[in-house]
Amino acid sequence: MRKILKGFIVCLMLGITGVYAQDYPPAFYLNPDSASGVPFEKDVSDTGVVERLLYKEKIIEYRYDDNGEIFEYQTERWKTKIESDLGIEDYNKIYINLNDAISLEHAEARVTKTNGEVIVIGKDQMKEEKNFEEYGRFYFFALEGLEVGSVIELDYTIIKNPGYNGTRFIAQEDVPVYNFKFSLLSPEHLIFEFNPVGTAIMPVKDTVDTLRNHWHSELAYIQAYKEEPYSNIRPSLSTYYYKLDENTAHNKKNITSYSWAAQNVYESLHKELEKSDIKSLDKVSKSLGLSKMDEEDRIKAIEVYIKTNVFMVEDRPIEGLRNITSILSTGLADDYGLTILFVNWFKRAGISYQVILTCDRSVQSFDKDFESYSFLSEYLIYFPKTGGYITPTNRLFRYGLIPSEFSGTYGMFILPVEVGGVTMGVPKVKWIPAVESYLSVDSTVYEIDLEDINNPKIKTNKSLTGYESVFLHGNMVHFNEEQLSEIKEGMIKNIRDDEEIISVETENTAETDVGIKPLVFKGEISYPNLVSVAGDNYLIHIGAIIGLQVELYQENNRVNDVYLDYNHTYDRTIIMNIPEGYQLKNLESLEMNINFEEDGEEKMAFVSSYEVKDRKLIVHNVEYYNTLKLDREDFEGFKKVINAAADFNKAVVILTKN
Amino acid sequence: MNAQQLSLEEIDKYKNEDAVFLAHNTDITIEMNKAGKPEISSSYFYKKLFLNSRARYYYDDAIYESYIYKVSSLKINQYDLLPNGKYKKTKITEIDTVKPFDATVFYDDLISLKINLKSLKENSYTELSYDELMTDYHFFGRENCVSYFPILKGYVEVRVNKNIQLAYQEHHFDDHDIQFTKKEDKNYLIYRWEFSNIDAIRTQKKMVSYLSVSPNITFQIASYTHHDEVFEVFSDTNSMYSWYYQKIDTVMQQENDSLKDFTLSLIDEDMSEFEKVKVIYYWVQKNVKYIAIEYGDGGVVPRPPRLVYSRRYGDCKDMACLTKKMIGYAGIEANLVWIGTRDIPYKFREVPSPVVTNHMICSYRDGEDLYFLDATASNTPISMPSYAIQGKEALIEKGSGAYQIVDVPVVTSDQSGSVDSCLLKIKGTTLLGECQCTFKGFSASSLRQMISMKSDKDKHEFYSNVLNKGSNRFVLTSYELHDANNLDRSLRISYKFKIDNYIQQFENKYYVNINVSQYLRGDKFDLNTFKYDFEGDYKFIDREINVLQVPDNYKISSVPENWSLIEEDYKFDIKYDVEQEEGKIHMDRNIDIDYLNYPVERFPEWNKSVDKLNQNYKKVVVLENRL
Repeated sequence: MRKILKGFIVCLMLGITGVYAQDYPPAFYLNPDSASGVPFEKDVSDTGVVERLLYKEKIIEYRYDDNGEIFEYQTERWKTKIESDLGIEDYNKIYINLNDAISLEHAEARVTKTNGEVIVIGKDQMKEEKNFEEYGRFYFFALEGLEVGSVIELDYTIIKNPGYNGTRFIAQEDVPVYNFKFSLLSPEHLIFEFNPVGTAIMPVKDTVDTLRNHWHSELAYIQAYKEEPYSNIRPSLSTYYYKLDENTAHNKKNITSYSWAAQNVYESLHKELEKSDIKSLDKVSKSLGLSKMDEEDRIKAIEVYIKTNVFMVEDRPIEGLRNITSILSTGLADDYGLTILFVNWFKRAGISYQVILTCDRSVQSFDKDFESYSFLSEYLIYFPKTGGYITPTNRLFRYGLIPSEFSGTYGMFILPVEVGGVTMGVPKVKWIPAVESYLSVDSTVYEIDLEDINNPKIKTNKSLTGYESVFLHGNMVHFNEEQLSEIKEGMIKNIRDDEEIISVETENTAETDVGIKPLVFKGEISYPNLVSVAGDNYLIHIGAIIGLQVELYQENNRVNDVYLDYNHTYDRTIIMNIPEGYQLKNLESLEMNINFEEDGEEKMAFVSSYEVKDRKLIVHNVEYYNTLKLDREDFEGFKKVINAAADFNKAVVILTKN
Repeated sequence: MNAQQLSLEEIDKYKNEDAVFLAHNTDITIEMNKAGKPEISSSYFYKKLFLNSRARYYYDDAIYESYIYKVSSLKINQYDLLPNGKYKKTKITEIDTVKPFDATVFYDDLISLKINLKSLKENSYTELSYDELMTDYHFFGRENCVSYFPILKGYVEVRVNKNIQLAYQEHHFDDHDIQFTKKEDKNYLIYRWEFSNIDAIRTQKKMVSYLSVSPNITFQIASYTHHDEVFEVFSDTNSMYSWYYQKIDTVMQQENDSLKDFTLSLIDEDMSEFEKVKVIYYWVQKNVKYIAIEYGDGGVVPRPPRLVYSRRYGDCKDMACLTKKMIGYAGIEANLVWIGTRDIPYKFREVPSPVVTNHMICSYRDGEDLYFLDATASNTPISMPSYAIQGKEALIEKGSGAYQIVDVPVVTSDQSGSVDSCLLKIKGTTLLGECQCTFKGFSASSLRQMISMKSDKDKHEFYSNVLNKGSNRFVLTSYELHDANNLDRSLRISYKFKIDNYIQQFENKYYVNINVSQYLRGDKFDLNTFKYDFEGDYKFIDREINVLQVPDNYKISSVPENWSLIEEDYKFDIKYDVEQEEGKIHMDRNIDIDYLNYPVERFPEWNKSVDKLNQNYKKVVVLENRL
């Protein structure tokens, strides 16, 4: 989706192209070893890891060539000492990523063996692969003679077309890094702004190097990042965001701004329509009877029409993927073509809407105070009159539900503002709320039949809404037989024990049911392990029926904040007949009530209760999560709720003879 | 709608398939080239019809070329059905050259020609054709009469110049409609296999090699005549061996003093010959890393041992040659071995050609004992072959013109697996255990391999997963490893664990299941999806011995009965033994898996056996308070 942004970045480039005196050497020739020899003391948290980087440096330099074209030189250097056999496996194959690069300016790897022998591998000894399937362009090589105690150094520079509207460099790695240095250099008239994230610190301007602008930031130690269950470390990794802010040669300020972006995106999405486009849109509108509907129904009708009739294709050699008439006749569009179709049809149908650009909150945290185009990668559409959102590009989602990673975060809303008869796009950064837990429910009724106590049967009726069904629902009619039977089985056979399917069927699988009716799976299994034999009595592992639950029993010393993908609810009912001549005991194990509150408001809970009526045991439990993020200090509260479900999974009642 | 292309029966038969091949044709010509050598060129033609709307997901196709196979004249046409019932033809020209990424091969010369089709619809079909020239006739060949979609009609035709002797073998033709004809004209013999209605094969995890269940044909050039002189190529195992041997001969003749000095520094004169071999083998296993570089003739010709030694990496043949060279420097004979892993079902005497092998190791004979040294199999003790070559034929080099073909043994079940012995105690509803788990054979190798990939930080969690049992409340409270790095001994882990909430305590009784791990519980074949024989890694015995200490003031009120089940190639056994006086209950559970592959027709039997095992796992011990 960056394709569209590229379109107007060009105009900015014109401002900085030109012939400027540049009588200084490129930064990547300077001090290749400036920090590599600095001794350090190991940080306390740095124990038990496989390897560590003894030194790491990132240098970004914007330089003009002789023709006045500006390029970005990115240099990376690091050094490590192999401390274990596993380290050899980790470092004996090195890949240099050249995607988005023009060329590899220079590269050198050096291995210093324990006996002092030095093996140097130059760029000419590296292999170049222009198109690794899925991965793209790389230089790669194997390091020779590695043994425990070897020291490896890598130093390379790639040349890229300059990116300066908000880019980031992530300094933190899955290994500890010592002596880290970040530098950004640019000609005197180009002024950059920075936004450090995580433990990164604000770069300062060098007072000695006065030939150019030279900012740098040093970190003595960066802890290795660690993934934990229910965490997402990517947005908070130690990262440097940087962007061009001023061009003093042209007296341009605030160069990377959302005003520019909003205006350009708006214009490019709303180019004047061809007559044929208007005709095709009006024809479908008429066939759908849009004019008789209220605004919300019109939005929904247009969305259903597009999402069931247009198939998104990417990077394919097909004409007309962004042309409205062509899309409506071939049923094929790319992501940008879909967005064009949506907004222009909404406009034509008299629906008020605002285009939003945001980013995946699991990757970047949208910073409302630092305008950067790196946050503008995904489209959403907001309807101010109805308060709803849609995603134009994901055909599985329907009005009211958008991919969760684009919610619970900020976005740049583009407000159409009419000035002298011309409509312009004006940006406003606003919060995109997450969808509440009651809209994503997995509601299941289990009916246990103990007639054959050695081989009990369980009837399941599972009804899914919102995020609980969205990835399946719109695909149910597109899956092949094999996929479908795997999904059906997976829904009914979730104990992951010795249960066997007797029957399974589905309801409401049509694409037009998505977002309207719940997706339903009904089935029956036999489950011998439900019952254990204890002399004359039986143990009924009633909690096992809900399937193995995620647990955090052993999660201690939490490092990261809690991150949840989406808000959701489980609502479970278990009904079991009590066989004649027997009575049930240990029922109190089915009573549970665990919740977690934040600022006096309940955010999540697991509540279970039971009743016995007409020789039937009826257990009901509700588990819900209504927050996407918790501070790590609140982890223990969260853990109790998660573990409550895992505890319930082990609930056993005892069936004894009267 | 697709009645134009398929009969009604076919439409019904393939209703669950997304596509079928209407044609799957291979034309191979073997000619004498100007240099007086055989030259093999092939033409392929595939016509594929899409049967439903999922066609839109099949927007790319690919063919591959490498150092050995050069592709030319690639043509693709796409045909889409128009509302008027006619087909619209589109010539596809968008072809990307892509390097397939394979995590197991660091660098090779395989190239994928990726074809970008337009959007396909139900009833669309494609016609794809290309020519392929083989740069070395020794690698000829194999053709599959099967694909990932059903083949309605197809053929393989080989047109051979009469100066060339072709040998071929048919594999797994049973139950398939394949007709063979042989014709001749003035200069050529024409072999033709025509097949129809061949079901699709889709490989599944843990199934046996698809080559052992689907129809395929292997070919060799046995010999050819040029200017009245007959040149043997692969007429039998002798000629095949000569070819293999000349690939390694030059490389193995290169000597290197520093490698020799290093080898001698590893051993000392007091060691027995066997000990010297072991030290060298383990050194290569541990210190030379597997990195496969297979471009040009690097796919068959090993790198010189001195280079592999200084680089500290290589592929299987590099490591095999280094091992042989080093053992040779110690004054001991070792031999190179060509072998096919269990993925390849052919035998040397039936198929005398390189398609039989994909691996190289080294062998060493000590009196009656023959050892197979596979340096790529880190952590495998010298006493065992690597698991992937069990039961396979090994072609052992014995110098120029001399070789042996021997069977690699299948390691018996009692040599691999684990014995987990625990003393169990009850504390409230918590189960406490003090245990020792012993891993041997392949089980120890694979565990050692996994341990070597873990950093110290991750180890506790790792062992906790390895030893986990009872429920997800299992907590590994402490552990200690014994003989972690001594490949010649079993790997032992002594450990303590607790499982909260494991025991049911109600009124005056404890209910305890002392089958804590319940190995194989629910481990059944899915009869709907698993269609082929199961391929196990190795035979093994899994045994669990638990001794439950009955708490004071409790008496044993009920203990499950003993049970066993014996089939020809596996055994399940659970024994209880009560020491009422001592207040102890012994449970000894033994599972002996004595098969390597398990046949699909016996899956129902296996599932029933596991059901019976489950019924016995469900039985718990009841303890009653005396007071």
